Amino acid sequence: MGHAATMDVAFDGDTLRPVMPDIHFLTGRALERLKDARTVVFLSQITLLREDHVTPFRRMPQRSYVSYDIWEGRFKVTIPGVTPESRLGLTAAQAEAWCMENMTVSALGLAPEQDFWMRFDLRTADPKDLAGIVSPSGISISGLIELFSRKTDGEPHWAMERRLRLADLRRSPSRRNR
Amino acid sequence: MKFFWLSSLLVGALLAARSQDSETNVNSRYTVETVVVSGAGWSTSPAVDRDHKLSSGLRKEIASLVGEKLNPARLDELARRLRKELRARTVEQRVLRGKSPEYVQVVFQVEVPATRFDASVPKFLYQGEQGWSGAIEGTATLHDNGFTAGVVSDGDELVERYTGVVARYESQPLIGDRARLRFEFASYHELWNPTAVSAADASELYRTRQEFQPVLSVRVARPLELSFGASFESLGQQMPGEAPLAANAVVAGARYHEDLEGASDQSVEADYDLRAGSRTLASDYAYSRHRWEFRYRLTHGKHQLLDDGWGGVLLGQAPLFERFVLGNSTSLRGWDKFALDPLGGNRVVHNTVEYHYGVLQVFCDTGAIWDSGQAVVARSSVGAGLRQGVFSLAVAFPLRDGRMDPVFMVGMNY
Repeated sequence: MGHAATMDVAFDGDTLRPVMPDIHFLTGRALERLKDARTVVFLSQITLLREDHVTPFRRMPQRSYVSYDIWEGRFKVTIPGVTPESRLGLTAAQAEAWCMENMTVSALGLAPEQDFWMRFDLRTADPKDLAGIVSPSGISISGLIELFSRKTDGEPHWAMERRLRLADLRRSPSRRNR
Repeated sequence: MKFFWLSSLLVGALLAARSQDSETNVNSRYTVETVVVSGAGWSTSPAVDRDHKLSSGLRKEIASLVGEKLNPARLDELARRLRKELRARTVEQRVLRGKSPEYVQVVFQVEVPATRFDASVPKFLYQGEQGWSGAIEGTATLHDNGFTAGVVSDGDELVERYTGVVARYESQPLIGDRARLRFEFASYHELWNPTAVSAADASELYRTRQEFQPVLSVRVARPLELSFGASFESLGQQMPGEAPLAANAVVAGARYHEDLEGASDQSVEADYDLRAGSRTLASDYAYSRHRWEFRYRLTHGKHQLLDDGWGGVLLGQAPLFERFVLGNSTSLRGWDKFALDPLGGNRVVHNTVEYHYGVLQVFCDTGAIWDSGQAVVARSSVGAGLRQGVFSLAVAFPLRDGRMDPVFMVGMNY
């Protein structure tokens, strides 16, 4: 498991977004897979926990599909959804930054003076691994067993958390206005 | 937290399985130039070669990638099938830049474990007339050398029911994958059907049988394989104290196998086997046994038509295990082999026509078995059933005047 040294949080009045310039996830095994022309999926989740640091009250999972153009040497990132968004021709740093920009959680309903915790998790998954779990006849028990019995030593996983109050955060411009 | 990852993975899995990888992968705009499958010391280009390491169906699917747009999800599926078919530890796919811009090369790198163990059931069947037959084997493979040990009880294949142990060694590929050496040892206890006992001279029936058979197989050209070797059999006699008889023979064979691919898949196989017992090999039996077989298979979608014709001639004085048999689970199905000829025959001819549609099968067997000098009587049977892979369930009807006695068969690998 990897840990970034610091996690800043950007707040635009509506949403919270982790900001971690030190985190580099297009490296190691993920990059090897990408250079074999595979798609690598980054699964992330932002969890907001109450002051007790135990009770979660909001979760926002996200997936980013990344691929690497073996002729151009550039990355493509797709954020799935009702209207999927894609960016082509990105450098590794640009691809990482764009993935991170799309990892947000709503701050609606949070009182400015309320203490809470924000936890951020990020890990990779090969679509092959994901697809292996699902067979035409349903979810494969053996696929699940195989996936969860696999050693996770080589599988990158980042987890960071920070105690916050909205009142302490400096407001940043909204992504939608940029 | 574990529940989060589990649920995320499952949701991701469901979505990933449905989402087209081609939509998210930037390389899906490139065209596949070549595909290579390679392992330790071998490699094949399925679009060009007809390497028999791969089944025809899988080879065609891999070859069909060439000229198509890259589909990473399809590569994953083919890698999974390669892993299963080749029993590989891993199959990694690499995608490299092609020789021309906008083209890519696909390489499947196969890693087979140096040591592995497989258990198999080469035969398991129940036939209404002859009862149960079965075999269980375990094979340890060490650096491509196969060591097999197993037990068998077979009342189907020969005149006798033989029960015992088998051990086999099969060498790693020799002379650049063109040759293999095989040693087989077997020790059986024999059981004789009362009909056979009453038809035979007491001296013909042996109590035990030990076999040692070294054989070298050489692939002369891609579709043609030749084999040479010897078979040393020791037949323990019924009376205690009697010296065993030797049935030692030279063995040789030729096998031709060609796959013809087009709108429909066709395969043609032709075999010839010779076993010649000779006094010069210190054999108590001097004989020659010739057997030839021709198989043709036509596959079109779910339809499959199979014709399998074979015949044999046995000359000289041969032990009973060399005699031909009809009326078992593979020939003249539905007939009782002991009713046809309780000691088998020294002349045989047989043909099977099978039609399969998906798992459904119907078949018609026609054949004759006789001893030289006897009148030849052709017999037939028809049947139907289900076949899925190696598993088969069938009912066969021998065609004879005035009676129709169905015989049920269920089993694997026949």
